[in-house]
Amino acid sequence: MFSKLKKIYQNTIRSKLILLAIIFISLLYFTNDFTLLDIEKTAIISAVGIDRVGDQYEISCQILLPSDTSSKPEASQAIISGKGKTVASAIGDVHTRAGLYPKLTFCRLIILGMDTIKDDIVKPLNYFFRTEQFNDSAMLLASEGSAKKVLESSSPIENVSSFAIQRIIEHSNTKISDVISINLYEFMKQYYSKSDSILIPCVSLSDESVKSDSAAPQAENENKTIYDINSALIIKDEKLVDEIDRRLVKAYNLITQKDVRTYYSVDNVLDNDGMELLIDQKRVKISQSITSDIVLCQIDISIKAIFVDRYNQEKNIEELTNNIKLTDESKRLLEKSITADLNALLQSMQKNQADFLNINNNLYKFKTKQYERLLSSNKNLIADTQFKISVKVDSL
Amino acid sequence: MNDVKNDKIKLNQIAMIFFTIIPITKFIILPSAISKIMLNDSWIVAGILMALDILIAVIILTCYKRDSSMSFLDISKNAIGKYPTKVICIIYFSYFMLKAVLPAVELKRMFAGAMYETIPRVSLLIPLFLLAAFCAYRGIKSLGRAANILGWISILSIVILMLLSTPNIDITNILPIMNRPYRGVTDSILSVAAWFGDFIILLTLLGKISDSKKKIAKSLLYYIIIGIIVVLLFIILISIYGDITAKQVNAIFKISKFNTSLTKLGRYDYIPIIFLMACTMFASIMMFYASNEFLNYAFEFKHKFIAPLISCIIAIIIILIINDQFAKLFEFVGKFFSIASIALQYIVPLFIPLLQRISIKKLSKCDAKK
Repeated sequence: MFSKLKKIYQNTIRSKLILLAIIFISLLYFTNDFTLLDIEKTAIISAVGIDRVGDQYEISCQILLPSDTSSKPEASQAIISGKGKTVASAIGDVHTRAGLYPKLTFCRLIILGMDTIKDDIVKPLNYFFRTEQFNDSAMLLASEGSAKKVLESSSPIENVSSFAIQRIIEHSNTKISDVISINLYEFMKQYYSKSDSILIPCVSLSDESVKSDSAAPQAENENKTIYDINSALIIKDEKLVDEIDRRLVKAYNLITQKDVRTYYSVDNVLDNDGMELLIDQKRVKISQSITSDIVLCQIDISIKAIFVDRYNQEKNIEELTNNIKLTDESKRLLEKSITADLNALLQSMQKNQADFLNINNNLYKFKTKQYERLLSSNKNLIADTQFKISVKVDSL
Repeated sequence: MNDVKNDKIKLNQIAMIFFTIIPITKFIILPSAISKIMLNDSWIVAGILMALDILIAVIILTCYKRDSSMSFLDISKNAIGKYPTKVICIIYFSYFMLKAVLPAVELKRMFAGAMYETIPRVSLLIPLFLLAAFCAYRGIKSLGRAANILGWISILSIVILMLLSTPNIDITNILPIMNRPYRGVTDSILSVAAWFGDFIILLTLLGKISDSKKKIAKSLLYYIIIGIIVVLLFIILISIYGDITAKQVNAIFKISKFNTSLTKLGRYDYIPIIFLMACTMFASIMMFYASNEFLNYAFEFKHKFIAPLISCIIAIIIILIINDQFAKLFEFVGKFFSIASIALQYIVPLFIPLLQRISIKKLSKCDAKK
């Protein structure tokens, strides 16, 4: 009997006791919080502004503040700045000042103040690129003045400035062809490639007093800011070299962006009246070849467009409906206008030796040996490149 | 509890094990490590090493085809004797132990880097090795069954991630092909070989495979498909990132992130990624199993639980010594362990068919004397 009990103990109870002991010890192990941070102790950063103040970086973090949606439907924000010799130490300073762990995972926008851009744009960006926690699809934006000022502003559309800016930049690929859109990943990819030149959108602020029907007090509706992001800065070798205006930005988007519906204005035609065209279909081919000592670049653009708006005195409904088709004259004018814009863009590119059309990259990929030979004998490849532009416009 | 004689595995289960462990372990830190030397040609190095791996699998499966009942221990003991076999087994035990720690550390680093930046000490891996010890105790049959499920999960997850990555691919990023000194290929092979050589696990499975030998060809076809998947993953990563591929440390998190559907729906690509993280854990467990087998071969313990227990304690000690010093670990792997791995993965297995022939001859002579 005793031996039988002993056997049962050995076979079942002992093994179960061991199992229970293991489970109990495991429970003790897993009851600690593994020093994970609570959400209340973290600062969710939606945007970062980088300014250069003397020999220090001033990092302004736009921190999203959670609020009760029933009392305050819109998101609210706080801007906290920190200073340091490096970006990391400045962010550490923000941590100390806010008392919250700065969480960069949700940061979707980096704004660079003009002083930072003039100093060295890549140095501060390298920190964000190196940090695993940072999402490198965050958009980049230059500011005509201080980045902090842009973050502190608020738009009539959104209380949180970075949200309003993102609406403009992130939609540029599908709707707005007048704005350049670039994220950290694209910037770094371009910077570390053979064509180390990049275009960055630049924001300027214009204060507007906005009236709304909301119940908010009048003071809240005043001093709202409209963001003008139609120009772009040319960055070459970490430095700012030039700026291009809205028209050249549009020309750049026309030849580089896929599937962008572009509205194009052609001036001084049809008895001094402007006309607006919608470029709905396009085929762009940029091909490079190397002759004995120079690069030839051929840009072929085939466009299908319709009139969106033009001055005309339609007599009847039939004329009005047919009026969207391009006339031979307007086709010629549009070809001329696009060619002129592209020429201006290419001149700016050659003047600054800034290869934002990826000519060096493409030559390196497809004509490696010839390219390397040419590069060893001619350092001014872009300046000496011969461009040929062919634009063909058709009615949609 | 499985009896040792019943602890058998089928060839398709082995293929599923490799489908589970190979693609993901090659796609965390490795692409960055190779790209630092080879840039856009890193896929060539991955292809060469996968081809070498498959060659080793062919050699080991040839031994299985010749005599399916002989284990590595039988072959080695009969051919070179008891004590040299013990030495070899201890060396392989250490090799597999480090190979078990490597994916576990990568997993922890991946968690800390891409998901929970405040995740704490490396001691979080201790439960993983307790689980590994339990799995090793249960035997290969249980691992084979787990792989039957995990293999499909791994394949499905990789296919989803590949599909999500397609809109951002620019295949011209792999150009120009091999526009650099060939020395780069040897240098990178010497520094990353430790991440390859998973088919060497087959050594521990010799004598445990219960399947028709006709299925060997099918198995090899699966291995080739695995090799192609690895190379394809490398090509996709280079196609997306071009000159900045070397910076993409947690590669598996990176290939799908620019898909526009993720902006609208949130990062649902984390679902396959987390499944693949589970596969990384399985990779660590499989390597632990192999090290445990070699420990058993070396000391032939009476009780089945002793080897997993000792292996587990050693693994935990290694983990505590490493204690978040990832940079030093990867430096050690790149400078020393990879070179040792080349010998153990690609040179020693070349002699296995010869040892098996010697062993069979010796056994037949003994039988004739009797």
